[in-house]
Amino acid sequence: MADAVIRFENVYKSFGAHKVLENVSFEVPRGSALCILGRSGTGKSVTIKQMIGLIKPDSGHIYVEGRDVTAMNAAELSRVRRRIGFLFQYSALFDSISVGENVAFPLRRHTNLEEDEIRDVVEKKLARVGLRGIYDKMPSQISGGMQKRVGLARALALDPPILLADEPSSGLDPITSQEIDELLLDLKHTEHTTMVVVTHNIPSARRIGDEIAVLEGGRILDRGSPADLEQSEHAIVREFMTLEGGI
Amino acid sequence: MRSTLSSIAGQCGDVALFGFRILRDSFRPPWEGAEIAKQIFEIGWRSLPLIAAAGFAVGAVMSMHTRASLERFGAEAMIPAGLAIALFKETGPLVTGLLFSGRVGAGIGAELGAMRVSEQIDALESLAVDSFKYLVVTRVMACIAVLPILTTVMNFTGILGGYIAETVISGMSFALYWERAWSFVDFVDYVPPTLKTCIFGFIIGTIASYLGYNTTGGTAGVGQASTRSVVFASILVILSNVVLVKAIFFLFPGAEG
Amino acid sequence: MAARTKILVGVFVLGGFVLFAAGLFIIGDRRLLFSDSIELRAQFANVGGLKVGSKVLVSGMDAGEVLAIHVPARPGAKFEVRFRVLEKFQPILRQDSVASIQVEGLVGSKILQVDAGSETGAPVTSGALIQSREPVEIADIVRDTAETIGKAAAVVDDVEERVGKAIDTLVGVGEEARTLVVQVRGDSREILGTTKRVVGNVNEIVDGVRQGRGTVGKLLTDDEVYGKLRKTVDDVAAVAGNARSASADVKEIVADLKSRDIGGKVEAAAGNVQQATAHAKDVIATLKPSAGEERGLIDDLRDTIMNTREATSDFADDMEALKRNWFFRGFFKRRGFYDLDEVSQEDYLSGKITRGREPERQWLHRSELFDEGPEGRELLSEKGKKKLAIAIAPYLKLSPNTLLFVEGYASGGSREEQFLRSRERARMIRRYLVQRFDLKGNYVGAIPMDNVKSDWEGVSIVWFRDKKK
Ligand SMILES: Nc1ncnc2c1ncn2[C@@H]1O[C@H](COP(=O)(O)OP(=O)(O)O)[C@@H](O)[C@H]1O
Ligand SMILES: [Mg+2]
Repeated sequence: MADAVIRFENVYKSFGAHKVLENVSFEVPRGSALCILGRSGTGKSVTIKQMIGLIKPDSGHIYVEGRDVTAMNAAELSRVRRRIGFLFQYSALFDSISVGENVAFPLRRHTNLEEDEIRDVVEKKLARVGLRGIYDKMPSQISGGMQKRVGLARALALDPPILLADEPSSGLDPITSQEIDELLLDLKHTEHTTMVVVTHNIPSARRIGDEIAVLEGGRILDRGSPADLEQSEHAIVREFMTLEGGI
Repeated sequence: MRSTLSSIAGQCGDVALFGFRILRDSFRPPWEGAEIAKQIFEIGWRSLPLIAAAGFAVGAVMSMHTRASLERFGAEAMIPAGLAIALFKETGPLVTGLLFSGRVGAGIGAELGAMRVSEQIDALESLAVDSFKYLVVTRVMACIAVLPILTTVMNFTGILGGYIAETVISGMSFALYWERAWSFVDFVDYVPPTLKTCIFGFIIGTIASYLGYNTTGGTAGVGQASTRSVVFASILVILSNVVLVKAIFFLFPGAEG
Repeated sequence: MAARTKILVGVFVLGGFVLFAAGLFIIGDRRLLFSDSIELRAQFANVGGLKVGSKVLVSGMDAGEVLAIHVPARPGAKFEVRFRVLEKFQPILRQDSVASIQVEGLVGSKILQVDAGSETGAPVTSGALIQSREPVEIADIVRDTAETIGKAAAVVDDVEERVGKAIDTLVGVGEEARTLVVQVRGDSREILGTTKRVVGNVNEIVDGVRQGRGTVGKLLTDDEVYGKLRKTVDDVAAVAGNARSASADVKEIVADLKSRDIGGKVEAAAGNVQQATAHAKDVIATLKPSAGEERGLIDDLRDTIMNTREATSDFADDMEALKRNWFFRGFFKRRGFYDLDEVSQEDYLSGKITRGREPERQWLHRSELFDEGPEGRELLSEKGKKKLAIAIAPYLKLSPNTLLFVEGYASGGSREEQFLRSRERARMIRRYLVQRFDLKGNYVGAIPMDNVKSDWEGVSIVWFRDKKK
């Protein structure tokens, strides 16, 4: 509890009359990975976007490394964001610049690296997500799965201690999907990256997640290790955990 | 009815706040110099062919019309001067403003709209970049910087177009045409009208950015942002021009003559 | 960002700035902002629309601009115009250089024209006050013209009076003399007619100018005058100069009239007539008529009349010259019906003059109008005068600007005879009507209609009422 890198405290969020999150509380300890499971439209993306202040909760508090994101000014928020890598559900690559420049973008803005060093780092990050020789391709020229991996490379460009990934393996073929899982596990083990991973994929959630939270009807229905959840008091949670593929 | 009115008023207030924010942020670091330069390239340099061609055509057409009316009084010698005055004072700035609303307003509206719905703006934010400064302020600054330049290009190509139209009909030499064209132009006919396009630039950039930056509703929303940008920017350019003309008369009494 | 893009942005921004600055320099250069200049002053009671920033020309060359116009503190004082002139003009400017306010081009703005000074004038230094000439107004020219014409009219009145006196004297003589006098009277009537017409012409010129309000504006809206002006004046900037020379023309005419001593001549002529008639009286009174002497008397009279005619026709020529002066020519010609009595039958029939207006017409037969005079000439009878008065009555109620034509008709005889008679009739009736009813000469025409209708003897009086708006 003391070293919770991310902590939600009674978070409420609605869009107009549509209540998305109702009294959501949880925390992610340093170095651990939380997987958020839930059906489409239950507010998973909304939840992790709130962690970097892209969406503000109606009420409640969200602490990142002990500091309340909801009460931050732009400069403080910017500092927090530099410590967090964020992979968007639909990659959100900048389509006016090349793949390599997408990955280089945070480096150019937040480091003083030389041009060749940047190039070096970018190639390394791309290689890490299994992509080579596509530096000068435009995002529209590569497949959706590749885009997602470039997005991950961009999120990791600054070697952030925290990684938020919104469905990193959805839309990928099983092999690539598995490679991504390996990569995330590797990050957790070698760099002790704290992670929140939104996913539909139960097997990968089991593998990556130290904890799994099931979001349903605007609430965290249940939360615990994969083994705990198999014994959950909620039938729907137990049902989720038995699913072989995605939800 | 009431609610539409209040929603329109609310929108206007939003746009005004948006504009203030642009002005305020443009004085705060970081100054996205490279991005402004890039935008100047995109919306300035790439508008050159359009503006130059339009200027040429406008000049030629105006010259022909001026001829038609001045011929009646036997004042053909006044054609170049009449054209130059009309072009510098009003036609050049206004036509440039409107063409710019069309090309750049639509472009900014669509580009920012697409970035909004594809979460690229969120992505920028997630990378600890002030998307407002990076996307909006840079574009508006570029618009402000570019419009007077494009207007000047329009003015000069207009004079040139007028010359071609004139020399085809009357065979006037370029030297004489040039001499006559400038014979009545005063500083107040040239400087304030050209610089007022900075305000056009601000308006066009602000409206288009506002609509693009706040796009909702997916791809359809992007199209809407784009067309609305053109419509509102054009209308506001025309309306603000009325005020600006009056303001110039007020500030530079010599401009009225 | 690619290096190429950076270069293009630089080119764009720098190029745009240079282009804009080029415009500034072109304008500045024209306004001579960037050269050394001296400041001069001139005072005007009327600045005639000159503004701060107006151009200053020295002997027609672009030389500077007006810097300030100080409004005087008191009603009687003059406006002071301060202006800048390039230093290089200093050598030709003197304190007796004259500044005047003129129009640049025809519809152009006002400029300050400064003439070079005299060889002996004191040189100007910065701040010097130079001479000025108030702006010339067309109204002034008209005033001058009117004055001239007034003088001319006085002369003509004088002539008329004297000739009339002479004729009155003649009327008192005996039977033989009366025959003679009738002949003489015909001639003198003609003389009087000419002089009257001259006066009429002059008045019409003045009226015309006045109706045109005599302003530049009116003249310039008159296409024809405009065209004429333009043709005459190649360099439009010289319009004001020409206007001045026009007024000089008028003055010259007056001077010319004076120098020719028309009045004196007429006086002499009239004296001659009186002398001659006295002579005639003597001759008849002494009842010593001899063929030789009588012939001598007639010759004498004829000479006298010839003299008078010459004198008046000289004067008529002068007036014609005024009318033909380039400045007024177009103005009056354009009015189309100037001197309707000079309108040709062809123009009349073409409808160019009446422009589709409906004619209202009165037919008058020869027998109602004329008495048989000597040598078969027709003379307007008393009955005829009454008939004319009745016929013209409806016309007199209309606007004095309503066009009136007297059509003359004649039948029988050769074509030439027909023409001459019809013309004579038309003219006689026109002359009578104009005099008797004080009509505007330029709105009344006389047209021989010999070849239009040859079965009528007499005249037809036709007027063309203005179309209702
Ligand atoms: N910006 C927004 N405006 C309005 N509604 C939104 C917005 N973002 C998300 N929602 C709504 O919130 C709900 C949760 O969305 P999301 O978090 O994207 O779902 P998912 O769990 O599939 O990621 C959805 O019903 C969506 O329509
Ligand atoms: Mg989602």
